[in-house]
Amino acid sequence: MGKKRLIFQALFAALSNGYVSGWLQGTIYQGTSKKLCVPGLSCYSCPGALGACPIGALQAVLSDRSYNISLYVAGLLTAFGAFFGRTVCGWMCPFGLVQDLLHRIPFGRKIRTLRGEKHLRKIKYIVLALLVILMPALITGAAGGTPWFCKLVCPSGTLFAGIPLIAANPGLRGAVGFLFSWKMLVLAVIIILSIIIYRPFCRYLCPLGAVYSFFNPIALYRYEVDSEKCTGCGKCQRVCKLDIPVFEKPNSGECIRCGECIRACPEQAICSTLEKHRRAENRPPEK
Amino acid sequence: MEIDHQGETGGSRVILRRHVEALFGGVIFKRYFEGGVSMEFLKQNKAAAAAIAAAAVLIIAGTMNGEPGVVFVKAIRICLECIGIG
Repeated sequence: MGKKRLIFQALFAALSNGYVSGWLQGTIYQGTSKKLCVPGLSCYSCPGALGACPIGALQAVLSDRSYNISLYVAGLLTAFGAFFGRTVCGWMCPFGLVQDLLHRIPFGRKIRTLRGEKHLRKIKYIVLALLVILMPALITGAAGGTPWFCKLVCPSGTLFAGIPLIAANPGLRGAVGFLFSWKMLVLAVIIILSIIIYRPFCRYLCPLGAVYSFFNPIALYRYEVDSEKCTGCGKCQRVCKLDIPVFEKPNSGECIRCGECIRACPEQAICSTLEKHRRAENRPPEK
Repeated sequence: MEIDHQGETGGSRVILRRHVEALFGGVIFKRYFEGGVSMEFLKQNKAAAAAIAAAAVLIIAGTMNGEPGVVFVKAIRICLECIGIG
């Protein structure tokens, strides 16, 4: 599952950021596919981006003086959430892939959880409410509002858009100032933390993960535990890099559906809803 | 010459079809819903089905409201705030 997931993540990142000319020339794609959002956190100013970032798009509409609410982006987020929940984070997010790769770097002792982990994980909901929804919608000038999350926090934008564009575009290089230094600092901290802790940005800060976490218990793709098979041994929690007690909460809002627990369960008590459906369909009819 | 599971022959055509299916999730769909999406599956996933229906309504309403245009205009220009300038 791990290798399969890594290949899927890489293919998905390459597909959604596959505008080769943009990478080579330091420009961005301007085709109509940019009306659509990709499911993961993927900056639309990335030279390779073929679609729009849902969090960037949400802020763009909310900060536009003509709109108070974004039905379109809310609909797309609801659709992605209803189908996949946080499977998007585990399988379709380019910045998730970066964090996964960084965590593979050997480091003395990896940290499973931080002190106050439960409270730290709530920060992403505050980021969503404050920087993505309230501030862009309420703080607006004559020219509209500001995408505060993109401006102050988003490390994906710095990594996939800021660095390549500034490297390739001398005009932009001259405009670099304090804000870029701040964003580089945020990115550097997240990169260092990613080596030690598994997916710190997804756990604590990502507003998109916060949105999809609401859908994890109802999404079409979710996990189920067979209570007759489960012995409560806790092996699923021990292998889970996010320290989720899967046997108790298979659809925790923190689960990114990496599938490690399914593979590790000695009783095969955990399965996805799709797999359960397939088994039911293939079961021979009772006589 | 390659023969697919339905007995079709066609070498590169079969391979191409498999690639296209893989790209659009056809293989996943075929693996899990070979007999079609059953009513039982929909009943077990009422909340998700309701959310998908709500999403469709929201997307249509937002599209009629002109929101994709706002997203498009923002997405085709380099967002200076997003990259740390501006």
